Amino acid sequence: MEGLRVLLVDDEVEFVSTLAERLEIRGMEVLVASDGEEALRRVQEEPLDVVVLDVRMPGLGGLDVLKRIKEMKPDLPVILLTGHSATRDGIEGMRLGAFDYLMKPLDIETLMAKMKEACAGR
Amino acid sequence: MENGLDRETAFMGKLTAGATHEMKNVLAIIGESVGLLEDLMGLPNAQDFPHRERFLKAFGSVRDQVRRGTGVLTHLNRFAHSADRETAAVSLGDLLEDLRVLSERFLRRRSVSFQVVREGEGPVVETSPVRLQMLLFRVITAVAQALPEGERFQVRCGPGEGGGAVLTLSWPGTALAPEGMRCLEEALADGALGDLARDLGVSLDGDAAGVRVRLGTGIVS
Repeated sequence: MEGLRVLLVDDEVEFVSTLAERLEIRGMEVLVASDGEEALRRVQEEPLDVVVLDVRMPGLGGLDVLKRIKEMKPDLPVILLTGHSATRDGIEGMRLGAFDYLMKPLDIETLMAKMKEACAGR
Repeated sequence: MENGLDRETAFMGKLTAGATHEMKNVLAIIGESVGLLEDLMGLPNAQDFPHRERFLKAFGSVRDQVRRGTGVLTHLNRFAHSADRETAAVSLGDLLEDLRVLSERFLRRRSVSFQVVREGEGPVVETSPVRLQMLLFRVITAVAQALPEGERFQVRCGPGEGGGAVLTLSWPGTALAPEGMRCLEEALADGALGDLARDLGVSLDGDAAGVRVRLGTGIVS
């Protein structure tokens, strides 16, 4: 897992910056984006191993961002973060090509395991 | 009227659902922040941090409360969304779990609690989710009121004979006193709930084994 390049996308800046710090402590290289447009720019410009993407964001929503990522880089695994309507958004996301979905608040070890699983097939 | 529901109910549901999303984000930030502090406290150069064990214990407590709050919010969100539509297919098991968590505070006054037991997948009812919740909340609180303090009861939901559904409320102690049963019957005969109880073909009976609430019509599977 060390050296893995992760893009975290969430409009909750405090959440995403804290999560980034926790992943960095675990040896990952973390990029953050606080909206869909910024996320797409990062995906276009940066070499990445995995994207962790919140579904509910103002402006360009997570599922729309997911569709665009899959058009740009079909092999880049995307893990969705969902709120309450996990099943509906999560299943729709997987239909669109997401690797899997997790519910907030996150368990960091579960997220790590899911990222490892997502990157194993690459 | 909005989607057949009164506008006030729809309004309350919409705002409550939105607020639960916000609160869940707040808890997510608190959870990650305390997780970060735990991570930092776990680093080799933090082993001599003053009061380290006390900090770790407090972090654990915060994490437990985040989990507890998230659980309540998840049920509250589903409850709030029940006001989205006038009628919907409702899983009785899910609905009872929501009521178990959301009525905890009311039942705690008498140290009464209950657990939900589903027979298989549990029946699904096509009805007004809001009114069904009101009806079952009334049943549960009436039973809780009639039971001795500290009692723990069980609500089992399953299919009824020849269709429909049956909720069985049971407890290890003695049968519900006649006045308790009367309160329950009165609660279900009240106003709009009485109408819903009639629409759903609700019938009640009680004996030493507990109280059975039969839901007749309106069952879709």
